[in-house]
Amino acid sequence: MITLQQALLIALFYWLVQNAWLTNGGYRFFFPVCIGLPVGLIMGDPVTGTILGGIIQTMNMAPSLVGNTVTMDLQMAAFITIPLAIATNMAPEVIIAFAVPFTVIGTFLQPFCRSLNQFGIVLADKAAAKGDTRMFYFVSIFLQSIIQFPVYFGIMFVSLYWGQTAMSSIIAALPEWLMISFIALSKFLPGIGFAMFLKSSGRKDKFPLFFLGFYIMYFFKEQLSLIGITIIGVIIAVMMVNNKTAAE
Amino acid sequence: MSEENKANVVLDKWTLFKVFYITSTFMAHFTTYPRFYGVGFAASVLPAIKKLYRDKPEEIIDAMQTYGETYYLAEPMTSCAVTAIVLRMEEERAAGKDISRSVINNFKTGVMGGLTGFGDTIFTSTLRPLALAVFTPMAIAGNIMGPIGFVLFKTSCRYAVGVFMFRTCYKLGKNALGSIMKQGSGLMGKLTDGVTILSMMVMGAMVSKYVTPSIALSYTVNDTTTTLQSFLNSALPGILPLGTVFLTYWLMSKRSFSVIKIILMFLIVCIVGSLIGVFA
Repeated sequence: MITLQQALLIALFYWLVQNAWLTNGGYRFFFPVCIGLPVGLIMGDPVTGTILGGIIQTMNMAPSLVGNTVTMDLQMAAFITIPLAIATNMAPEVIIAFAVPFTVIGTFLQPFCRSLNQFGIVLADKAAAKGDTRMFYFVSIFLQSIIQFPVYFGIMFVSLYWGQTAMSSIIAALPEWLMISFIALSKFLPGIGFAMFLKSSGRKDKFPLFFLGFYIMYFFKEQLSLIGITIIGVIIAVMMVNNKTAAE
Repeated sequence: MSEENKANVVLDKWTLFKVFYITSTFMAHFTTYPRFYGVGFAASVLPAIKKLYRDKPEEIIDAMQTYGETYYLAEPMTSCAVTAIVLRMEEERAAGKDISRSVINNFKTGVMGGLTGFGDTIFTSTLRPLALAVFTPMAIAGNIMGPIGFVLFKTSCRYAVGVFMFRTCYKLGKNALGSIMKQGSGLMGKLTDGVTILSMMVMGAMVSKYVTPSIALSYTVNDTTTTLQSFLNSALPGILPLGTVFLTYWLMSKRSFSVIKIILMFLIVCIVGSLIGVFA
């Protein structure tokens, strides 16, 4: 069971991490891998929380933000599934399967709040015309947090506190074929992040290196860590840049 | 120009710190679709403007209006470079040089794209996946240094780049970006190129590690059962992960599918697949 205090704290924390002053400007860059520890602490089991955060993170290891727009919301998924998993002792595969729907639902929150921000522009313009600098600071620093509070805090608290029984009975009632398809889906999902990376890089001329990295790792999975690949990558990058400079 | 006026047009350290802090922390906080970080940018240079035009309220109003109403989008930490140069231009303007705000605004919009590209390449495409690759396995192993290390690493990288950008560009002024951003031969061009190469390789490696679809079908010939997966592994190595990534890439860039549409498409594939026994 998630207690009232726990649900309140987690919902408050969910709102806090949306705020620049907590994440030193890495706004929205609070990752599942980091969420696990504090949420686990609130639920009384930091180690399990950390593990679950890491597992949820593997659903998208690639950059998922383009122009600060969320495309797959692992954050919401982590905030809902980790407490639920600790409270009900869920198996990791089940958690991944259950997290999948929230990665989609969460993506609607940010555009919604940004549309609400629209009326802040009117305030900012008025303040600017009057030369009211304090109001101008207020709009750019605090207004969004205030607008977001009912949305983020409310959604998280309602789904954790009143939604927990419903969610755990849904999980218990999921038919096996649906479970299998969610687990299979969670293995395809990381690919989307990498495809987005390729698209946003806009460097088709560098795609061969992508294949090089892929096949080095594919054939030497046992021997090589990602640090190893990074070292090889740095060497190749230095060589190629030097060659290019020499050619000019 | 009298001594007193001169003191007015050079910013003190405390004001510079305030500008840096607001830019790096709050510039991206108030996001709206028509202007993105426009208002945030105006707020971040505001301490300096207030200092420079202490007794000219109409200048402060003008600055808030021109900067606040302009569309601005850049990675906050690399954007410290733009902020620093704008401060430099504002100082010159306050000293009586004839620089109009629309010129400053055009400069901002001009370098915005290049800087965003640079910031995204450094942070989003390279440092973040690398940090994830190092610290996520630690977290999965139950080591609480995983999350803590991730936060520390990312924060220190961001501040290192931000402080470097802010200081260099404030010192060198408008010429700074010209020399470091020149495509190809400039420092930034070289760095972007090299980092793109590195991130491509690391991404490729991460695909083979984390994109792991597999199929459970098998066939029997002469009493020996072979799984289709092992056949695929030997005949077409890596076809499933690479297929997943490049099918998505193709759908997004050529058919302009949204991410949600693609997830739903994979969901349908998975449900059908699990019903007919392709996945298990």
